[in-house]
Amino acid sequence: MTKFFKFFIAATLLMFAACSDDNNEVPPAKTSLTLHINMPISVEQPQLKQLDAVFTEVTSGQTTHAKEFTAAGEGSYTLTTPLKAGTYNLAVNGVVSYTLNGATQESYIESSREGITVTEGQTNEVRIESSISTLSSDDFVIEEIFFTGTLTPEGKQYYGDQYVKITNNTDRTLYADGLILMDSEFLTVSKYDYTPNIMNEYFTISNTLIIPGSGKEYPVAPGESIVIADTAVDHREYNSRSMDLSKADFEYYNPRDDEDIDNPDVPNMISSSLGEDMMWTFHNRGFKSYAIGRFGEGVTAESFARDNFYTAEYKMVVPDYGTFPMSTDAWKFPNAWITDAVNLSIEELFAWIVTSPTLDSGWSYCGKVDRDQTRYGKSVIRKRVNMADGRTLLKDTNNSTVDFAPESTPSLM
Amino acid sequence: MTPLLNRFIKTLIATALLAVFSPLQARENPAATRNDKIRVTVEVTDSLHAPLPYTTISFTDADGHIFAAVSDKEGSTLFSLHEGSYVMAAEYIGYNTYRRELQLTQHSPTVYRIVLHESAVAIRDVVVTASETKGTTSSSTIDRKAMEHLQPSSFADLLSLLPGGSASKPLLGSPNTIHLRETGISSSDYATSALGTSFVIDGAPISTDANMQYIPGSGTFDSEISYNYFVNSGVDMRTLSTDQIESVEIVRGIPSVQYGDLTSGLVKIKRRKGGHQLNARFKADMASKLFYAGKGFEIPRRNLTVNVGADLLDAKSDPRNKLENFKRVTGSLRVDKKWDSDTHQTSLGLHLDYTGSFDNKKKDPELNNHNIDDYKSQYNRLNCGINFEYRAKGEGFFRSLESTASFDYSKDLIRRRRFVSISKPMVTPVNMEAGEFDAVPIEASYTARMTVDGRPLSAFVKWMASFAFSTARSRSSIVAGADWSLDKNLGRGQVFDMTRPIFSGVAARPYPYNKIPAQHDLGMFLEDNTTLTMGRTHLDIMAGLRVLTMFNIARKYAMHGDFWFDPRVNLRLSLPGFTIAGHEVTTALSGGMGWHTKSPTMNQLYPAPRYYDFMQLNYFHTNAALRRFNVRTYITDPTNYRLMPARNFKWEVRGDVTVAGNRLSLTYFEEDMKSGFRSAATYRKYSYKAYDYSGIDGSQLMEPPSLEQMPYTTQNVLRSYSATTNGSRTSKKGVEFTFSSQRIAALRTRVTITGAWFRTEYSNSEPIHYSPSVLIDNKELGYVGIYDDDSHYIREICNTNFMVDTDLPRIGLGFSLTFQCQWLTRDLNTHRSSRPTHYLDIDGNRFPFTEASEQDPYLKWLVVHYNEKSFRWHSIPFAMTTNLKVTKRLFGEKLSAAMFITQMLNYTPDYKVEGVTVRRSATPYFGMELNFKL
Repeated sequence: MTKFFKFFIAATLLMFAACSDDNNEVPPAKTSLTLHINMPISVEQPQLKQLDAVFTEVTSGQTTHAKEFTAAGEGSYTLTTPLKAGTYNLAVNGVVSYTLNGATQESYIESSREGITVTEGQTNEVRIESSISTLSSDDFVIEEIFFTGTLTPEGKQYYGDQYVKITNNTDRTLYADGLILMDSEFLTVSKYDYTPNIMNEYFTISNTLIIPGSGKEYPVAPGESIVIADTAVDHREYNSRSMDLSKADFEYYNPRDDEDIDNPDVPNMISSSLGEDMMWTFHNRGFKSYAIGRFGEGVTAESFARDNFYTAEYKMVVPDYGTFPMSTDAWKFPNAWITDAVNLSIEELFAWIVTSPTLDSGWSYCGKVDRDQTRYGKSVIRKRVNMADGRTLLKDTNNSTVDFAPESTPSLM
Repeated sequence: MTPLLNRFIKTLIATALLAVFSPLQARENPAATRNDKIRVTVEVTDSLHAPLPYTTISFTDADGHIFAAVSDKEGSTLFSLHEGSYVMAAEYIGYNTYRRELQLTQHSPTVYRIVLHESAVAIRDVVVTASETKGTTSSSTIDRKAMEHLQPSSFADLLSLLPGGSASKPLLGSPNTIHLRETGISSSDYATSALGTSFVIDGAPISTDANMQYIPGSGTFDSEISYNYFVNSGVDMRTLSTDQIESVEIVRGIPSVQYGDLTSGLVKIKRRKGGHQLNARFKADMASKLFYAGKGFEIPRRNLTVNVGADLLDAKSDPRNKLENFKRVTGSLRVDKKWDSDTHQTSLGLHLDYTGSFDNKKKDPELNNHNIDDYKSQYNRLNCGINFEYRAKGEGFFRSLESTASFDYSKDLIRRRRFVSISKPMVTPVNMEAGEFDAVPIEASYTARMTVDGRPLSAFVKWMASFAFSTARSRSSIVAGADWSLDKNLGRGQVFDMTRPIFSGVAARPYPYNKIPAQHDLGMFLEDNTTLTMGRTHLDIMAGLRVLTMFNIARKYAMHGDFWFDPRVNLRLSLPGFTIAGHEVTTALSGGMGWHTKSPTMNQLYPAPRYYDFMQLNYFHTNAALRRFNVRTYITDPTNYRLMPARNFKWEVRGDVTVAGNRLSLTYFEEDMKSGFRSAATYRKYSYKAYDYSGIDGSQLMEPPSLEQMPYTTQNVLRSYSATTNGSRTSKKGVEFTFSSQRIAALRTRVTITGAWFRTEYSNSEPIHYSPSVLIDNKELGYVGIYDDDSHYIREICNTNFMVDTDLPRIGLGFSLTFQCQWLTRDLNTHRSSRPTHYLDIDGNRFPFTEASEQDPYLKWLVVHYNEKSFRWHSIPFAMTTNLKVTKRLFGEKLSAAMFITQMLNYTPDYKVEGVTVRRSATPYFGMELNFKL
C-alpha cells in the first residue's frame, strides 16, 4: 500500500513536471551544430568523397540528414547543420579514397556518437573519429527480406507474397545453383542457455530451401539479383494491396499441402525441414534470423541432414510460473559455409542475436512492438554505397543494424 | 471446543476397542442364551408414504443396550429381540425424531410402520453441507437446505461439497464436466471418467452418447471455440439447474447394478414433489444472474401433487465483455398421483422438461475491420418421462414393480460464421467420392458458414421388480430388472459449402449424422440385498450382477453379440451400539468391489470418414482459364472395429464411527480403468501420381493441360489418422473423509471437516505409433516408430475443508465460514521412450529397431530426444482460501436474503522452483440472492 502511494505521488509529480515542460516551450532560435570529423588514421592521404550524417532526436525520434561538408585541414572535415535544441544520436557513413601502395583505393568510413546535447541559441560543437568499415563479403548477399506480408483490403494477413532478394555483390558472375536459404531455429526474442552452446561455430537452423541446378544453370551477373518468392504469381489477383511476383526467379511450392499452388514457369526450391508441419514460412513478426550459404565440398542435402543433427537442451524460465526443462531438435550449419546472415527482431522483445557476431553483430526490424499492425507491407533492405569507380555496392559490414534500412517499402511493390 | 474434540478422540479409541470385543460381550450376555426371540420389522416412510432409506432405527432396552440398524432402500429394517420393554426411535436428518415406548411380547405386532414428518424448524439438524450417507457404499447426499446455503448457479457448484472438492470462481464460459475422485487432467484422452459418470434424474439417465456438436479442425485453427465442445465427455453440468432439485445423492463408490452405462460414478437427482409454496429466487453474482420461480400443488385427498418451475441463467465470462455469454433456460412440469389401498400402493409420475443452453462468442466487428466472426451453440433438450410403481404392503414375497420410461429429443445447433481472407492463393478439392478429381481455386475472401445440426434422440425404458423374504436372522430383498436405451441422431450433421472452407488445410467434407445407425444397449440385472442380524450386529450385503449387450451393431464390430458382466458387491457390518461416558456410540465397517462398464459413444463408434487429398498436378498458369489442379482423393474409415466398452474395477473399505451424534467416516478406495477411450494415431500408405508438366509449353496452350499424355512418377507417402482405442488407463486411489460434529448447543455451531487425498495416474496402455516430421531433400521420412512408453501423468492432491456453520433460529440468521486448505499438489510426467522397439516401413512391414537402425541416415530420426530433466516431480506447497456464506430469514421464513464470498481471504504464498519465484493468486468472487417462499 505504502509503495503504491509513493508511486502515485511520484506519478502525479511527473505529470506536472511534464506539463510545465510543455508550457515553457518557446520558438527555437538559430541553433546549430558543427561536426568535426577526423579521418581514419590508418590510411594515408584520405579524401572524403561522400558523407551522410544522420541525427536522431532521442525523444521525438525525428531524423535530420546532413551531407554537405568542407575540408578543415589535413585529415579533418567539418559539417554544420541547423538543429533544434535537444539530445541527439549521430550515425555517420561516408566514402573515402586513399592511397595504398601507390594506388588509389576507396573504402567506407563510419562513426557514431550518442547523447549529443544541442543547447538553445548556440552553435554547438562536436568532434568525432571515424574508422574504415570493411565490406566483409565477396559473394551473394541478402539484399532484402520481405517477411511481413501484406494486409488485404479487409484487414487480414496475407503472406503468399513474402520474398527474399539475393544479390551478387561482387564484380564477377556468380551461380545461384545450390545456394541455400535457411532460417534460425532460435528466436531473437527469447534467450535461453542452449546446451551445448555451438553458436561460435554453427548457425542453428530448422529449415532449408535450396536453389536447384547442377552448378551453372542460374548465372547471376555482378550487381544482379534473384528473387525467391513464397508463391510466384501476380498476387494482385487475390489482394489488391499486394504485388506481382510472377517474375520471381524461384518459388516455394509445398506438394504436401493440398491447397498450395505452383506456377509452372518458375522453378521450385528444394526443401528440407524439421518443423512440425514440414513447411517453410517467414516469421511474419520477424523473430527469426535468416542466412544464405552453400554446402561444403562433397556435402549433399542428405548427408548434411544426417551428419549435422543437433539437440539443444535448455531451461525455459517463465517469470511467475517456474522453470521447464526443454529440448529442441535442429540442424547445425557451419558458420564457415555461410555467405551472409541477417538477424531480425523487434525493439519491445529483443533478447539476443542468434548468430555468431562474426556473421552478424546487429539486427534489423519491421515494427517495434509485438504484433505491430504497422509492420505489414514493409521490408528490410540493405543500404547501398557508391564506389568511386561508379559501381553501387550493398553495404555489408556484418552489422545489420547499420547495414539495413528497416521498415522500408518493398522494392517489388 | 478442544475438550469436546479431546473427548471425541478418546471415545473413538474406546469405540475401536469395544468394536473388537463386543461380539464376545454379546455372547456373555445371559439374555442371548434364551431362544425366545421376536422378529420385528420396522418400516419408515415420509408423510407422502415414500420409503425413507438410511433412517437410523434403534431399540433401547431397560439396561440401556442399544439395538440399532439403518433402514434399507425400502425403508425397512428387521430386528430380532427378546421380550421386554424398549424405547423405539427413528431418526433421519431433516425430520422430527420419532420415539415411543413399547412392550415386546410374543403377541405384540411384528410390523411397525413409522411415518416421519419433516421438521418445521430443524434446528438441530440443519445440514448445510454434503453428508455421507449410511448406505453400503460411499456416497454423499446434498439436500435442499445445503443447496440454499450454497447458492449455486448450476449443478457444478454442488461438487465443491464432496470430499476433495473446493469452491472457486465458477467457469460458465465453457462446459463443466464432472471429475469424481480424481485430480483431473486437461486432455480429451482422459475424459472417460466424466463420460462414465451417469446422471440419473428421477430414475432416467441423461444420455449424451449422440452428442456430436463440434466443428472439425477447430482444435487446431479455432482453439478458443473448441473449449466449448464436450463430445465424449458426458454431461455439461452448467445445463442442470438446481432449483427443481429436492436432493442429490452422488455415489462415489460402487453403485447398485440397477444403474449401468457408467464407469466412475453415479449422480442420482430427486426432484421436488408436492409442497404448497410458491418459490422464487433471484441471484446475482459477479458474472451471472439467475431467476427461478416454482410452485407446488398438493391435494392430499386425491394423493396428487403437481410441480411447475422455470429458471433463467444469464452468465458472462467477463462482465465487461458483452460478446461472450452463456444462457440457460429450463422449465419443468411434474405430476405425481398415488392410489392407496390396504394391500398395495400404486403411483404414477409424469414429467415434461425443457432445457435450453446457449453459448455465444463473437469478435467485436469494430476490432475486426467490420468482418463477421461469431459462434453460436445451442442445445434444446425436451424430455418427457413416466414413472410407474406398484408397491405391495405387508409381508409377502412380491414387494414392488417399478417402471421408468423416458424420451428425450434435443435440437442442437452450432452456427459458426467466419470471414476468411486467404493468406495466399489456394485451391480446394470439392469431390465427395474417392478417386481422381480436379480441385478448384478458393475465392480471395468470403464469409464461411458452418452449421452443425445435431438432433440426438434417446429413449430409455426400465422395468424392475423387487421381492423380499425373511428368516429368523435375515431379511432379503431381491431386485430383478432390465433396461434398454436407444440413441440416434436425426440431425443433418456438419453442413457447409466445400468451395468456402472455414479453415484451410482441414480437407473436411459435409458429414450427415442422420445416416448413422441407432445404438441400442440392453442391460439386465439381478441384485440381492440381505441384512443378517447376529445379536446386536447387523451385516448388510448387497450383491448383484449386471449384463450389458448391444444391438443394431454391425457384425464387423468386435462388440457385436458380446456380453459384459458387472458383478458388484458391497458389505456393511454395523457393530453393536454402546454407551461410553453417557454417550451413544455406533460403529460400522464396510467395503465393496465391482466392475462397471460404459459402452462407446456414437462419435467413437461411427467417426466421420477421413479424407486425404493428394495434389497430382498443380498448374497455375498466368491465364486463369488455363489452370488445372488435379487431386487423388482417398477416403479412410477411421473406425476401430475392435473397440470395446470402457471397464472400471473399483474397490473400497470404509469405517464409520458416531459418538454422541459426532460422525467420522473414512474411506480408502482404488479404481483401475484400463480400457478408457483415447484417440491413437495409425499410419497408412497412400499412393498418388506426381505429374511432370515440364513438357508443356505454357504459351501454346489453348485449354488446361490434359493429363492423358503427361508423364508422371508414383509417389508413396505415409499419413496418419486418429482412431478411438481402449488405450487410456486411469488409476485412481485415495482417502476420503468426512467429520461432522453435533451442533454445539451453546454456540449453535457445527464443525464439518471434509478432505481427501487423491492420487491419479493417467497413462497410455498401448504402444505409440509415431512418424517424426522430417523432410530431407523434398522427401518425407516414410517410417513409423513403435514406442513402448508414453508418459504417465501422475497427479496428487491433498486438501481439507474446515467448515464452521452457525444457525441462530431466533434471529433467523445462518452463516458459515469455510477454510479450504490445499496441503500439497504434486505432479510427475514419467519418462517416455525415446528409442522405438520396432519400426514400420512404408508398406507396413514391421522390423525390430536395432543398433544398426540407429546409424541409418533415415531411421535414426525415429530416435526422439527428450530432456530427461523434465521428467521430475513438481510440487505446489500449501495454500488456503476462505469462503463466507450468510443467510438471513425474514418474515417467518417467507423471505430470505443470502450472500456469499468465495475466496474471501486467501493465503497463497509465493514459492520457488529452481530459483524462479512462482506467484499465485486467488481473487474474491461474490454474489447475493433473495429467496421467496410464499
